[in-house]
Amino acid sequence: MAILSVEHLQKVYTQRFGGVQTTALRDVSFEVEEGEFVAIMGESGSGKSTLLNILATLDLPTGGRVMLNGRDTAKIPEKEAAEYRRRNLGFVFQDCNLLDSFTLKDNIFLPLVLGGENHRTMQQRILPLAARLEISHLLDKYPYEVSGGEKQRAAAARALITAPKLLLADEPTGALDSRSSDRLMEMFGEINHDGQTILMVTHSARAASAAGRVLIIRDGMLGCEVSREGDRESYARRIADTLAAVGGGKIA
Amino acid sequence: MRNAPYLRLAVTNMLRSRRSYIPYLIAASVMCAICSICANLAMGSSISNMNYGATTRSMLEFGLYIMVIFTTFYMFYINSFLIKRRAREFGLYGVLGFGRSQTARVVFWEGVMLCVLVIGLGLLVGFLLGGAVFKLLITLTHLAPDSRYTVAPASMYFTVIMFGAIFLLNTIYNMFRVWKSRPLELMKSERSGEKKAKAVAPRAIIGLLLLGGAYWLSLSAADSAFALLLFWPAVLMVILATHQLFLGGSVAILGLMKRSKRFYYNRKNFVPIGGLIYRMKQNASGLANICILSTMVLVTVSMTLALYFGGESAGSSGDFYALFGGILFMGFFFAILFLTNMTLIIYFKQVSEGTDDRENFALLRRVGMDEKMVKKTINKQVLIVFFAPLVVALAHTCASSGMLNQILGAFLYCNPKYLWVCIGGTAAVFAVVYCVVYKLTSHAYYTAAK
Ligand SMILES: Nc1ncnc2c1ncn2[C@@H]1O[C@H](COP(=O)(O)OP(=O)(O)OP(=O)(O)O)[C@@H](O)[C@H]1O
Ligand SMILES: [Mg+2]
Repeated sequence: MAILSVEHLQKVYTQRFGGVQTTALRDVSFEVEEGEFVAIMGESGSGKSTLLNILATLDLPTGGRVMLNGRDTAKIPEKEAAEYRRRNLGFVFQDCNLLDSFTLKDNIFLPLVLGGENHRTMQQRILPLAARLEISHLLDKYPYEVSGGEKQRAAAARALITAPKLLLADEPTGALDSRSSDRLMEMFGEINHDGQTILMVTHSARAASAAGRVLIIRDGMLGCEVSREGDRESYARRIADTLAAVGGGKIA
Repeated sequence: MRNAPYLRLAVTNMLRSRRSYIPYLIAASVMCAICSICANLAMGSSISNMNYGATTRSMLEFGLYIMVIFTTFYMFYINSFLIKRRAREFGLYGVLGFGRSQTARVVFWEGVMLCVLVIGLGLLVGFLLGGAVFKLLITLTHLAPDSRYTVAPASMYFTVIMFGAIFLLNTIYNMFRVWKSRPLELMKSERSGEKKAKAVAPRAIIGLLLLGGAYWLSLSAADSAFALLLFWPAVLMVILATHQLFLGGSVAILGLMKRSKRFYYNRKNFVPIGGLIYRMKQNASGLANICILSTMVLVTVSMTLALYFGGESAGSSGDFYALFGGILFMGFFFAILFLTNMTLIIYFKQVSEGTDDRENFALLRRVGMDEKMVKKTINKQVLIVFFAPLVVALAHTCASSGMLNQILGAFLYCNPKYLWVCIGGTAAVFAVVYCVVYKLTSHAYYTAAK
């Protein structure tokens, strides 16, 4: 069974005054199987962040539905939404992922603290994760004392420490140079290899080539899909070509 | 004209950041108006040719000097606070290829405009309110009730020169700051408060020792000569101690809380403690200043009330009224001055903290903190930050009662119970005013944090 299934999702933003409407998502349907690594690409303004926010239960769709682990996310009562997010989802964003007032370690502990875990469990969980993401030596530093790539790895650790069903990432490499970006994608690949389901929005074909499957959104609809075949280089080239063709307006 | 573009940019800047400039403008104008009124009464001829006018006038003159010192100090303080917050903006100018000398010119024109506005508004308000204030003074001092209020040109020159000088120095300081630093440094310097606090334990210990010493001096004061001699040293000790304690003491206490893993990694405490440590490192001096200002308001007002009402039963000669009416009058003005500054500092703190916290709370929501808990956390943090100064100020005021009683005793046989009644009444009214200020400004926090 698919861990995530998105059915005819629609999102129309209505301005509070004047009633000007923006259709961010027209009709989007896709499924993600457990253990998959899926990338979502598309032009700026095509509705990627909107999609991710709805999946994250931070926003509600105006049509269609999202089933996560067999449960309709729109039917989760307001009161439980925060806890549901904490238990089932992990987030990594482009930037502003970490609180400046906490060390990396405390930032990573944050969702566990909010979930009422005890300190020993936290300590046990962080060790392998920090080692895997190679930030063990940075845990006592503050966010402004480490590099952008290191910050994103800490954000990934925070997202993963609850062992979420689904890891959502919105342009996690957006603020990184190509080397740090490659490192982060390499680690996402490894984590996925260990069984973590990942859904990631990105603008970079190179980053997307870490995923097993790439969905391309255009004008609020799914344009087409590219699956991994051949080596990394040719895969990335195929993604870029498809993107150019779709983005160029040939497919409506 | 070569200056026109800089002037225009300066105007745009001030309009854009009006949320910080308007309060600044209002507060500076209030200070300017107070100074101009006091200067006019002290220098003008309105009072001096009345009976006992000379006594009142020398009181006002002395008060004016002290007021000049405080006003200058607070104008510098607020200016440096504002300019620090704009570091990132100046850095951005640099990155956009705007040279340092060009940025300095913009800063110069901002200073000129502020100066003109503040002096203009201050003199205007001073002129409009001067008559009413004069009436109040003659009522309090029982001077000739039918004398007329006139504006002395000398007092206007005095006010213009004083505020002109303050703005000149502030503008030079601002231009120097822009000139001295490189773009990247400027971009980063807004974060400098995030450095680790140094020498926490020694600060806490020094603060405690100084405060204990000052309290002991005050409470053990046995005669008025001793109290008069040691009053200002004790005040200085309290000021130093407050600053050390707010930084050292608060971080030390929070550090201890943090050391207990069970307490710290608890969902109720984790975010507030982290936020508070961060805040304290950044804002200890601001909070200490709020605390000191509050203490000054409390002590000044309770002391003058005690003098006036406690003395009323003691004597009723003309000289008595001239003196104590003058004191009451000055006390009233100092209270306005301190309150204006306090409100301004609290307001700026709320706005800047709200802005800083916006992203943090957005992140906490995403990570799975529900709205109720976000609100709770905000309240916990903001309450502790803003009510700590009030509580400490009340403690300072109570401790000062020993010395104040002796000093009051030096002037007249004043019953100590008057002082306590006055302290109690003043503290109650002040707490209400403080809460109102807090409520009004916390709105600024929430709008900034949304
Ligand atoms: N809160 C909102 N209110 C109104 N319109 C919105 C809102 N958020 C997004 N939109 C609009 O919806 C469309 C999709 O926005 P979205 O942020 O999802 O794009 P995106 O694909 O993430 O773009 P980018 O790659 O630049 O991040 C845009 O036209 C945007 O202007
Ligand atoms: Mg986006």
